[in-house]
Amino acid sequence: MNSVTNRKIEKYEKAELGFWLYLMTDVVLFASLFATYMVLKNSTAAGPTAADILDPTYAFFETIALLASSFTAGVAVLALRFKRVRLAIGALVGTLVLGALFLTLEISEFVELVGHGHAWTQSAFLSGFFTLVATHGIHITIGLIWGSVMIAYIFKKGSTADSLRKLTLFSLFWHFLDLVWIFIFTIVYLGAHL
Amino acid sequence: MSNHAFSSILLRYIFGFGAALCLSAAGYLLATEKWLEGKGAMAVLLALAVLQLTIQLICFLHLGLRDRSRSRTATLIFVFIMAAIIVVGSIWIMNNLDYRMSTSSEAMNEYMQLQNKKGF
Repeated sequence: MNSVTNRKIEKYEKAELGFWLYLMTDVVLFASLFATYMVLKNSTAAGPTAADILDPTYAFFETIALLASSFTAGVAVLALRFKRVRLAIGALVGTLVLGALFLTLEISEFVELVGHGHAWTQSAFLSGFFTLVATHGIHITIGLIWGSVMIAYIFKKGSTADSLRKLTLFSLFWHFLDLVWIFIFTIVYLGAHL
Repeated sequence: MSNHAFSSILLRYIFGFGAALCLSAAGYLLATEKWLEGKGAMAVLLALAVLQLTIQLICFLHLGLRDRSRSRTATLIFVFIMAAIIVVGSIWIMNNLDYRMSTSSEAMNEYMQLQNKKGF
């Protein structure tokens, strides 16, 4: 019995480290996109500059939504660990609602920019901007799908070792996306207005 | 006992959330109210972002130097070094290229002769 439990714990720790290594490769991906954005930032090809079209107040609301959803994701893992399944599901639903709010704000910003003719084809700056921010947005979309699946899984299975492990990996992913957003907010949105 | 552990970890999450919120708001006000200008402002904003990153890594991702998270911390530090090389290196090289490409051909000639005198 004991060796079986030990083997399970070892397997979970390996899974967690493996997923962590994937996140580290994602850091390199985002670092490349940040470098691209910063190099192309002033190549506006007579189009609008970052200060003309990026609104820090709007991005600040996005930041609050994503930060709050990162917090509730942490609470969900904590609740599941202490077998409070209903609290865990509630916190997870909160995470997804706030995440969906963030994504809606981001997409409506994109729609407005493209509607004014400032699409990714207009200048190198806009190409870099859309690539960086939309890559983050795609990660958020995948996270929302993953989170919905997790809700169904926990609803069905309750608080087991497997559901705790799966939810822990999801929370790592979600916290990581919030970390990336801190730098998008600082460098892209706040940096535009200095 | 179990309840006590629950609330102490929850407190950690609440602290992380509050601190992150304050730091985001500070960065936002700093940029929109124009308290600082230019390069100094960007440096302060980046410092605030890195501080928030550290707080979230400790409070939300439970990184530390203990056995269980040590290998994660080590890979993270390694990746941050790689990311710094990518970002700083790209900006450095591309700015240098931009500087050379945007000079007139006479100035370019002069610059290359100067470089030749310096030797490689």
